[in-house]
Amino acid sequence: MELVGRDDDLAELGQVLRRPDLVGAFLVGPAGVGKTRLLEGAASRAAEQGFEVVSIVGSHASAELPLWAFARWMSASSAEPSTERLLAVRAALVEQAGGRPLLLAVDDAHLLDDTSALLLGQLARELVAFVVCTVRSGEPVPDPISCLWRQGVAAELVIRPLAREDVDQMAVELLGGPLDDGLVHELWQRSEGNPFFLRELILGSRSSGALTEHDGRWVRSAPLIGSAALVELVRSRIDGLSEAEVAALECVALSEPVGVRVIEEVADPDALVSLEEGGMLDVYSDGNRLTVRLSHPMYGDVVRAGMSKLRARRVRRGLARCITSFGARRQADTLAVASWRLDDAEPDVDLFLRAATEATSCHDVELAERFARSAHVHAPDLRTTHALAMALFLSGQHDDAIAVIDEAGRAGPAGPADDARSRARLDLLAALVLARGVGDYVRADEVLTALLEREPDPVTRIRADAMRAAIDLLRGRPAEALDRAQALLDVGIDVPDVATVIVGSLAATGRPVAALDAATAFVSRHGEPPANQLFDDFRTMALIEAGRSRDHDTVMVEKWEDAVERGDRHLQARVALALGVVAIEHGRLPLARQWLGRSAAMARLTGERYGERWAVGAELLAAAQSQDVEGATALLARLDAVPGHPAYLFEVYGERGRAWLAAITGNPEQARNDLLELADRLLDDHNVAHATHVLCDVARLGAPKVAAGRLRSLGSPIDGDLLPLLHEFVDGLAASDGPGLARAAERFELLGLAGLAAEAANSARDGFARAGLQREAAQWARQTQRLMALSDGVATPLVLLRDIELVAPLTRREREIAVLVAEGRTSREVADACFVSARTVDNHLAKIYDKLGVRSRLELRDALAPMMVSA
Amino acid sequence: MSDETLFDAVGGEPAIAEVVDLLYERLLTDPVVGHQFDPARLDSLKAAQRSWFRAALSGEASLPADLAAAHAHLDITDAQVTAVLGHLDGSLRDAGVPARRTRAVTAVVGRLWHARTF
Repeated sequence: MELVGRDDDLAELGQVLRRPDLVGAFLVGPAGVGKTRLLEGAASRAAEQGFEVVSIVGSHASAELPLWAFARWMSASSAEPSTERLLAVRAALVEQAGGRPLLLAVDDAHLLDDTSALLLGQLARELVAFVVCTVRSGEPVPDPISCLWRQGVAAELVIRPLAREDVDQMAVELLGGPLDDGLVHELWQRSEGNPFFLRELILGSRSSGALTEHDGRWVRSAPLIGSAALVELVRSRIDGLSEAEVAALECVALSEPVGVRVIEEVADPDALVSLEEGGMLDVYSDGNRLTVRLSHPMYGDVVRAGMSKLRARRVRRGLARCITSFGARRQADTLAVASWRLDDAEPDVDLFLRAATEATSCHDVELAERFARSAHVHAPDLRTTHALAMALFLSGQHDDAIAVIDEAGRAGPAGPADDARSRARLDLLAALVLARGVGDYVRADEVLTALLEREPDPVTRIRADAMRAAIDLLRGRPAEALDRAQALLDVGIDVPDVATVIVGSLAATGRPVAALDAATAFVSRHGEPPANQLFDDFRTMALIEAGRSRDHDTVMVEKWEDAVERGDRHLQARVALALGVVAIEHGRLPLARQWLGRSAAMARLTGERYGERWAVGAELLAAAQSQDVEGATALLARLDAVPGHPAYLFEVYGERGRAWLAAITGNPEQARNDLLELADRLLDDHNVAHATHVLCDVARLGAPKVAAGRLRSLGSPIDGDLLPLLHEFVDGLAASDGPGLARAAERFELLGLAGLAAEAANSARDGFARAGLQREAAQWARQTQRLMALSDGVATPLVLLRDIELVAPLTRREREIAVLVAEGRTSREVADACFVSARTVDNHLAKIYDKLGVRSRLELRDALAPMMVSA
Repeated sequence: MSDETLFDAVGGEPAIAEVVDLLYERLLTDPVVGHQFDPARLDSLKAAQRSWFRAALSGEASLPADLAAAHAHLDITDAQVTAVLGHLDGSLRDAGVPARRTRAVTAVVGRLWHARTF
């Protein structure tokens, strides 16, 4: 049927499509106003003009099934992790477009499942596709989609009712001949210009005999059907259907969009045909199968509202049996079938377990918990306990997860599936939850020890042992962890858990380059990095300690954006923590605090207490290094309010922050003592990387000689660019060695560590000045200025250290002239101001240039800049 | 992050100037499209191209004209459009623009070309 009365809307949509600043458009209007028809019209015109058009549909039946709308681009057997799945769908779409611009036409976007909405927002934002969505007025829209709208990157087109002449034209097309003028007016008034209402009114009245044709013209021979309300109108139309037709309509309403083969099994095929002929069903081709949906969502609303719960359950069960008997061909079918059978009397536990796994891999932890819980209620064995505990763990309900596992342990074997292997799997999960979630390393260790005592299976043993090694590492004992992990490597089973511990413990013991080599070796052995978040965390830690964080920023920011788009809060917390720590190292303190604030917020939302402590502690360090006493004090209070956690590895930031805060609030002595004590503790456990930073702090806070002495007695091998450089920096500070500190400044700058570079430069300035080397001192005063501009917010004692007399021992007259010149006066003006000749001014200037090591007035101004305030 | 326009993300004026130079080098030597460009007008073509990219990629709401209409007299075939987009992609890559941004730029340009009046 022709699209009536929508030329203006189409033209506006064309305008929107040509706006480079927009990534999508929303067609918004009440039910029946013709959004879908307009979308179809726009889609077909776009296709004519060379767009590749892809149509997807949100529906009530699929609103809770992750990625359902994109099911036809997913393979049936995919058990890949979700990121890959999203990427695979995206790649399939790009391939389908084959270089043409892609237009995604989304009908009823307010009914999309969250994961599909997420992907949709991502595709639009990254300009993979232009997105045109229909949305029913007043319905809540999934956040990733409404975001596009709120942020102004998608246009909103309000779809208005039809004008009278449009009603006339549409009626003519529906009835196949002209209408009596009075009838057109009545139809227009009754339908209020709503095309769907109009259609219902005309088709319903024609079948009831109220509309008849006389001499080629349609007239009203009885009152038009139905009441004034659209819902009533639809209901009266449905009331006019046969029993078989209503039953078929109900089946479609609960399952749409649904394959023809399935629906023909559960509903009367003849009834389906007559529904299609009556304009209530649409049949279309979706990928390679024929699919049925209601031709208007309003039918679904009315049908579902009129169904009893029992009836709905019976229909769903029938649908599920039918799909299961065909074999669930698509991955999304598993979730669909499982969700239809959630309240079944005889549930299929295997199906629920599969669905829980699917939902987990789609990051839908709530849905996973529902499936796992259903499975567990009906069959409380070790397998279902594992599924439920995993779902609880992933959604941050650590104590509940442990309670579920404990209950299974008390009950003993309950089902046929309770073999030793399931028991071992559950024990490993229990240890994981205890260690990472609850923070009870003692109990985690007990569980693992007991498992190792009875378990013969080598892979299980290695995983248990690797977990013990990981716990050692996290509680700050990297040397023990390394020994344990290396012993496991010797067994010859190459599992990611072991590689992860090796990477982390090498980095922590001061050998970040060896750690990075180990990571690279694992990846080249296996072709890809392990799907293990800790592996990534430790590799980032190694990059930082090796002094290679400079170019890692962009990768991590992209990773963070990716985590945000996928809604993965665990990952967001950890990536933001790494970005914050890197920003501290780079001397970008306000930026660091932004990242760390985000990390703390995300960690709190996921219940990862240690993650929150680490982020708050690191932010405390950043605040103290920027002299923000008030902010740092508040952060310290927050840190103390978060319950402690034995994962000590990254607690060090908070400890350092505590000391730095003491230093800037008048207790430098106490700060240094606390730090020295901390360094001793760290070195006892071979945390060489952290200890080096802590001793460097001692030097930066005024006791370089003590720090240098401790560092020299370390004795452990260290590698990479950063840790040896920190040693040289501390040595330079201890000896007030200008040239050595200048070299350190240059190398810090090369590594992107602008804050430390500025500290070293200013200390070099000080060193040169003490040695009476005024030119060099002046040169490094300028370098300090430049490096301070590269950093942001750094206000540590070493950059605040200023002494004009040491820097530039100019005579009183020279200072006077230098300041006037630096203010931009000419020699003539200076001469007049000082009552001397211009030649005398120039002579003085030559001496000033020589003493300060500058060659121009501009350089002079820069050289004096740090002193102008205090001068 | 979100305030940054695609124009900034690609590297702003200098990057676009480089991309346009690279693009015309490729276009002029391509047998499929080369004859469409008058080498004598190269400087003004490039200048126009640069300002068009600036407008298109910084999201200025009103662009000079409907692209397809503006090129109607040239009788451009679909194959030529594909070729130009391919060269644009290559020039962006050669100029060191990250793959993700390159994809975004070609997507915007492709969309603007195809989106004629509905």
